[in-house]
Formats: sequence, structure tokens, C-alpha cells
Amino acid sequence: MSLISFENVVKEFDGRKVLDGLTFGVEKGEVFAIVGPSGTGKSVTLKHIVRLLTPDSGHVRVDGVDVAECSSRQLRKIRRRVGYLFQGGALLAWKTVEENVALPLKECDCLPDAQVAKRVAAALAAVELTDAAEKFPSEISGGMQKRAGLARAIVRESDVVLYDEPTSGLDPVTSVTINRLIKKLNQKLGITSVVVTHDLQGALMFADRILLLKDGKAVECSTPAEFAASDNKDVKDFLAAMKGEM
Amino acid sequence: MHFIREVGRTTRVMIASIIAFPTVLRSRDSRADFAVQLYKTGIGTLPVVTVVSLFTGMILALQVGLELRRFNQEIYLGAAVMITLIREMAPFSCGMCLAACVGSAIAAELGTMKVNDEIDALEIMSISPIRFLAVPRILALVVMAPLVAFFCCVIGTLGGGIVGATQLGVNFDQYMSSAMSMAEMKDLFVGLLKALVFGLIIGTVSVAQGMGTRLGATGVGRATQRSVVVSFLMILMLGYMITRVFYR
Repeated sequence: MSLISFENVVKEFDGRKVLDGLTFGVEKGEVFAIVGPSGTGKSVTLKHIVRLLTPDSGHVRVDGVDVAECSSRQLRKIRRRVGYLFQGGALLAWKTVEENVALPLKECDCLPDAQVAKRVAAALAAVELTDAAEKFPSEISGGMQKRAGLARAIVRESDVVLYDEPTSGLDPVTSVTINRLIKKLNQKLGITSVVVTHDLQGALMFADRILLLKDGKAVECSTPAEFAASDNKDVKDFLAAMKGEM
Repeated sequence: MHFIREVGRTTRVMIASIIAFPTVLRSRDSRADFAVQLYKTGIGTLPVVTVVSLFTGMILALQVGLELRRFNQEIYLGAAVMITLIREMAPFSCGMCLAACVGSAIAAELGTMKVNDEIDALEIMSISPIRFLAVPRILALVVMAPLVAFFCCVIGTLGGGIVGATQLGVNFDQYMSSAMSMAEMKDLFVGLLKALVFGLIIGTVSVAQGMGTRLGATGVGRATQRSVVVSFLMILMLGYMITRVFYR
């Protein structure tokens, strides 16, 4: 059984089908990349996993639990296991990086200060951001904000991390750093990662499997090598478009 | 339909926040956040509130004083200014200032947080945005609004006294003695009750508008505008209703 599974998920916004019968599964411990043109429902897919959105029909399951149907207690348990890195990092502007990372531990897990400090230091070290602990989000770069957001996503020792466009708006060097970090966290901590990205080069580098979405449907789901060699017309078009962009 | 949905959402925010009020004292961090909100709401608005209430009292004294002078009743100027301020104008001016200064800032801040996914991030961390964001802000308004209204009343009365002494020939001691003799405790309590209700309404409306923001920067602007407009309208309507209940 997959750790995360989408079964025939349909989602409409204002009469427009963003997800149209989407079906796929993410296995425990893998890095799963979701790629596709803008507006094909990549971020919407991610939001279904933690019930920020619910499907109009179909099922989204995390470890066998239907996320849309589960009780608020079960949902809290699921969210406890899942870290989420938003596009902009979604850090609270009036708290320092350290306070942002400590937030779930203090506000939700109510851990003692010493334990919080230890866990925060470890999370910041894992994303190589120890030096910026005392800074406010407005005082650090976009790439650092994303790394701080990632530290917050892993500080509760989540076993799944969802990345929403982790490299968007970043320069190529910082993008590579973030992509390496995704792979490193997966290998070192065994974190299952679902990465929504435009960065196909990055996905080919760090992902175990790549899913191509088009018009809310899964077009191809395969390993990077199979993906790059695919005969599927949509995959070829997408690869050509990405090469053209580069 | 949209109006009913908005009213429903705002009511839900109000009820959930009132239920969660005690959590503001739960931890050192939440108490610190609450203290920051108290400062922003109370001390932060004092410059504007001082100017508004001073001139409100001065205008009131001038208008009423000129009419009283026609009947040689200037000695009642203090009473007229004080009663008008304490019953209506102080809570009203305080409400307007808080809606414009604090409510708009809350709606804009929470609206920006909403479009930047910060509120979604809190939900994913299983941190209730109501408890974490709404409660300190709404409770700060509920606590500070009566104090600010009382301050408005004091400053407005002083403003009226200055106009009485400099332009209407009413001795300041006479003015104050008239003011203190006619005002009753009931007037004070009703005035403070109004301010408290206004604080609750401004806080709830601003939080609900901010958290309901959609469509990026345009949405933040719209939420801010709506929070001020709806708060103003609610202040006027509730002000009348409370007066109607206590002064039949």
C-alpha cells in the first residue's frame, strides 16, 4: 500500500476542472516529483494531502486514512507527520528564524524550552542556516527563507515533507543547494518527499520518480531515466519545452 | 447570499474567539503577543485619539455654548459637554479611531498573511489561527477600547473647558463642577459598555475580513476597506441600539 495515494480525484474551481480523475501513489521513503506546466493543478494536488483543500470526488489517503473523511483528531495526527514547505517559506514576519522554527514545538507540542532549543538547533544545522537564527525573515534572502521554512517543516521530525515549488524565484546556484538539501534530507532522515516543481533538471537529479501532470491528469509516472527516454508525446513536448527554456 | 455568508463567517470568528479568550494566558509567548497587541491598540493610538477627542470636545463646547449663551445658561456647558461625551461621543470617537487605526491594520496584516500562505502554514502545524492570531488582537481591542473611550472623555472634556474659558467666558472651575455634578455612574458604565462592544466588533470584523482575504494584493486592499466600512456601520447601528436599551 502506498503511503500517499490519490484515487480518481476531481477538483473544480468556478466550473473549471483543475484535477480530473487524478490517480497516483507515493511510496514510503521515496522522493516523488510532480512536474507540469503552470495551472495544471500541481499545488492543488499538494494541498489535498493535508486537507487545505478537499476533493469534489475521489479519495486522498495518507497511510490508508482518507484525509477528506477523517476526524479532526486523525487530521491532526496526519498533519503532525507532514511538513509543508510553501513557495515563499510562509514565515511569520514578526518572529526571528529561530522563533519561526520553534513555533510548532512550542505552540503545538508544548515541549520544554531546553528540548525546543536542541531540536531547533538541529533543524537549522540540517538546512545549514545556523548563522541566521537570530535574523528576521525580512533580513534574509529568498533562498534562506525557503531553507528556514524547510527547517520548520522538519523540526517536528516529520516523516513526510511536501515541497511547493522549492526553487521558484531562486538563482541556479541556490536552486542546486535546495535540490541537494531535499536529497540529503531524504537519504539522511529517510523523509518521504513530494516535490512540486518547474525545475525539471532538478527533478531528474533528486527524484526517485517523476509524475507529469497535464490538464489535471497524470500523463506519465516513472523513474527519471524512464521519464527522459519516454515515448509519450506529452512528455516529449514537456521535455522539449523545458530544454527550450534552458 | 454573499452577505449572509459573511455574517455567518464573522459570527463564527467571534464565537470561536470568545471561547478561546482564556488561552491568551496559556504560555509566556502568548502573553507576550497579547502585551504587544495591548500596546499597539492602546498606546499606539493615543496621538490620534488625543487630537480627535480634544477637537470633538472643543467643537461640542462651541456649538452647545453658543446656543446656551442665547438663554444665559452657559453655566451648564460642562454638564452638556460631559454628558454628550460620556454617553455617545467618547465611545463613538474611540470606535472610529480604533477601526481606522487598529482594525484596518489587523485586516491588512492578516490579509497579507493569508495570501502569503502563513495562515495555511499555521493550520498545517495544527496551530489554530483563531487562538494564535485572532484572540490576542480581539481581546486587546475589548480590553483597551473602554480605556481609550475614558481617555477620550477626559481629553474631550478638557477641550470643552478650554473653549468655554477662552471663548465663552465660562470659568474652568465652574465648567468642571457643572460637568461632574450632572454626569451619573450609569452614563459612565453605558459609555464604557458601548466602547467594549465596539472593540469586540472592530476586532471580529477586521480578523474575519483579513482571514477571508483572496486574490492577492487587490484582496488585501478590499479586506482592509471592508473592515473599516463594516466597523463604522456597526458602530453607528450598535451605538443607537445600546442607547435605546438604556435610555428609554
